[in-house]
Amino acid sequence: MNTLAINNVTYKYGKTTKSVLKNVTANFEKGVLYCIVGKSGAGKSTLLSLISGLDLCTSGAVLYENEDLSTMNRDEYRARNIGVIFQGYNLLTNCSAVENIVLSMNISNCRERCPQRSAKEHVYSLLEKLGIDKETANRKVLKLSGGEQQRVGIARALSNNPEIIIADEPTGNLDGETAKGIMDIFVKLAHEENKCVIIVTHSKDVAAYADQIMRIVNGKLEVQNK
Amino acid sequence: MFIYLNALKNLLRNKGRNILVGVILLIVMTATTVSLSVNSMSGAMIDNFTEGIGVPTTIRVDWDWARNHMTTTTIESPDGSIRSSSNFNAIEIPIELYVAFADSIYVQDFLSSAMAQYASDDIVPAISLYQPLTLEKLMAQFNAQTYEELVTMFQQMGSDEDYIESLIDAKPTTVGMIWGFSKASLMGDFRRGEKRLLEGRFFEDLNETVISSELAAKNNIKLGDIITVSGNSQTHDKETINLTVVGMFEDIMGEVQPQLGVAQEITPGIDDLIVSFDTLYNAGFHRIDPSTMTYFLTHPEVTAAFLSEMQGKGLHEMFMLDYDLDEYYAVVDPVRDMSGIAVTFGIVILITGAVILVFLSVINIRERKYEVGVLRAIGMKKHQLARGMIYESLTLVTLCTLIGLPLGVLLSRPIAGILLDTSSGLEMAREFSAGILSLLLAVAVILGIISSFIGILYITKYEPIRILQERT
Ligand SMILES: Nc1ncnc2c1ncn2[C@@H]1O[C@H](COP(=O)(O)OP(=O)(O)OP(=O)(O)O)[C@@H](O)[C@H]1O
Ligand SMILES: [Mg+2]
Repeated sequence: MNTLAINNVTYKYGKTTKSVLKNVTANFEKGVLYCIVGKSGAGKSTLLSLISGLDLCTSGAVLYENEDLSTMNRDEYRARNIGVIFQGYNLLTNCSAVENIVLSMNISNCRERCPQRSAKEHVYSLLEKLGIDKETANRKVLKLSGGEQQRVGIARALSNNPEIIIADEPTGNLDGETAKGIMDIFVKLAHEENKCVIIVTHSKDVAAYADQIMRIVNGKLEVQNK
Repeated sequence: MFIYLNALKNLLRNKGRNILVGVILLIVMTATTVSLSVNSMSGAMIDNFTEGIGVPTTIRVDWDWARNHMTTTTIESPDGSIRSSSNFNAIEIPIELYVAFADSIYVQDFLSSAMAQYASDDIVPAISLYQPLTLEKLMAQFNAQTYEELVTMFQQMGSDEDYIESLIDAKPTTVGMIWGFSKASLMGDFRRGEKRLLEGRFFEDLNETVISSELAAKNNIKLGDIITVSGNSQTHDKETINLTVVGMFEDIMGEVQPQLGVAQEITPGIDDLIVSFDTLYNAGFHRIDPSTMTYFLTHPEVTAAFLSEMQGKGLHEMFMLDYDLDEYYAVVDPVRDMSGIAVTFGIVILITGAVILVFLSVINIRERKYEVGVLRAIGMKKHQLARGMIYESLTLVTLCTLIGLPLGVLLSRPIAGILLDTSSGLEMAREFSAGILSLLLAVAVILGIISSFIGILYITKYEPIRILQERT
C-alpha cells in the first residue's frame, strides 16, 4: 500500500485558464527520500499544497493510505499525519520559537505519542539538533534570522512525529554546512525512522541526497533516474 | 485547555490592541452599571416616596354633575309672588359604604372619623348645651305651618326628614357627642395643641374612651371607671354599651365660640366622648354621621380604578374623588426625567461601545488573518480557533466587568446625587438587585460575543491556503 498516491491530478488556480498541473500521477512510500525539482513557477509548491491537504485538486485525487483527502478530515490529517515546512516558513511572528512548536504539538494532541518527556524539553532537544540554542528558542520569531526561522519551521514539522514530511526549499536560506546537517536529518528520518520525506528544491546538492528525483516540466511529473 | 492558555497568552502578546479594547469595555461596563443603578435607585426612591405618603383621597360631590341635575321647584310666597329655585340634594353616603370602600387593594391606609349623639342615665353634662326638642317647638322655631312645610325647609338646607326625626326623637338624657377616630393621631385639635391629654392614654382597644377632665369631675369619674352609654334615639336605640375610661383631656381653648369667617374643624367638646372608630361603628347606634373619611391610595395612578371600584360597590355617580397630585408629580417628575437621561446615556454608550468593538474586531481580524492561516495550516480546527477567540474576548470582558461593575456601583451614588435632586424630599435609596446584575452579565456576554463575532465569521468563511496566499 502506498502511503501517498497522486492519481491523475490536474490543478488550475481559480479563474486562470492554464493548468499548473496536468494529469499528474505519482506514488510516495515510507522509508524513501524524494526530491521534486523544476523551474521556478513550475508548480512545485502547488503540488505540495495539494499533498498537505491545504488545497484540493481540480480533478483527480490525492490519496493518503487509500483514503481520498477531499473526503477526509484534513485538519486532523495536517495536525497528525503530515508535517509541512513551508517555503515562507509560516510561523507566528509574535510568538517565540518554542511557543510556535508547543502550540503545534498541542493542536496535534501529540502528548499521547510522546508522554515520557515534557513538551518543552522535547522542543529544546529538537531545536538543538537543528542548531538552535535555548536562548534563541525563547526569542520572538520576528527577531530570528531567516535561516533560524527556517529551522524553527523544520522543528515544528518534525515535532509531531508525522509519517509524511514535506519541505518546500528547506535549505534555501542556509549555508552549506548547516544545509548539510539538515539534509542528514532528513535522510535519517527516511531511512532510520521510516518516514516518507518529500523535499522541493532547486539545489543540485540537495537533490543528491534523494533516493528518487522527480521533475515537474510543463505541468507533468517525470521520474528521473539518478 | 491549551486553547484557553494560548488565548491568555494572546491577550498579552497583543497588549496595545487589547488595552484599547479593554478600556472601551471598561467604559461601557461602568457606564451601563451606573445607568442601571441610577435608574433602579430612582425607581426605588419613587416607590419609597409613594409608599411613604400614599395619596390622600376624599369623596366629594361633583358639582358639574350637580348643576346638570338640579331640580327646580316653585314656591309661593305669603305675599302671592311665585319664586322658582333650583335645588340639588346630595344623598348621604352610609357609613357602611365608606367602610366597604376602604377594603380595596388600592387603599394603603384608611383614616376615618364619625360622630353620633349619645345618652346616658349615669352622666350629667358639664355644660348643658343640649335642649330637648318636640315637633311643636321645632315648627315654632322655623315658623312652619305644617309638617310638610318643615320638611321642605329642611330639604332646602340639605337635610332630610330623617334628621327632623332625630331632633324630635332624642332622649331627654342626651349628654353630648361621641366621636370615633380610626387613629388617635388624626385628631386635629390634639395635633394643634388645642387639647391636651392630662391623664392616662388614648384609646387602643375597643370600648375604651377618653373624656374631658370637666366631665369626669362633674360625674366623679376616675381612670378605669366604666360608663354606660347608648344612642340618643328614643325609638331606635334600646341597646347600651359599656366604655372604660382610659384617658382624660383638658380643653385648652374651652368652649370658645368659633370666630365668624374662620373655617374651623368641628371638634369634640367638654361633654363629648372620644372612642376608636371601630368602637363607634360597632356600637350600632341608630344615627352615626360620617366625619372625615380619607383613603390613602397606594399609587397616584390608581385613582380612576379606585373610583370605578367604589361605583361598583354602590357609590352614586354624583360623587367624585378629590386628591392633589401636583405636589406628588412636582417631586417625582424630575426624578423620572433624570433617570431617563441616565438610561439614555447608558444606551448611547452601550451602542457606541458596541460599534467601536465591531470596528476594532474588523481591524483586529485583518491583523490576525495570517495567524489564522498559519494555525489552520498546521491543523487547528475551526471550532478550536473560534473557541480561542471567544475565550480571549470573554476573559477581557470578565476582567473589565470585575473592575467596571464595582466601579459603576461606587460611582452611581455620587452621580445619582448630581442627577437626582435629593433636596426635594426624596430619600436616596440604595438599590442594586439581582435583576440588574443579571442584566449587566447579559450585557457583558453580548459584548464578548460582539467582539469575537467578526473573527469567528472570518474563520468559518476562509480556507487557510487562501489566507496564506493573500499574504504574499
Ligand atoms: N494564487 C495563485 N493564483 C494564480 N496563480 C498562481 C497562484 N499561486 C501560484 N500561481 C501560479 O502557479 C504557478 C505555479 O506556482 P508555484 O508556486 O507552485 O511555483 P513553484 O514551482 O513553487 O515556484 P518557485 O520555485 O518559484 O517556488 C506559477 O506560474 C504561479 O504564478
Ligand atoms: Mg515554490
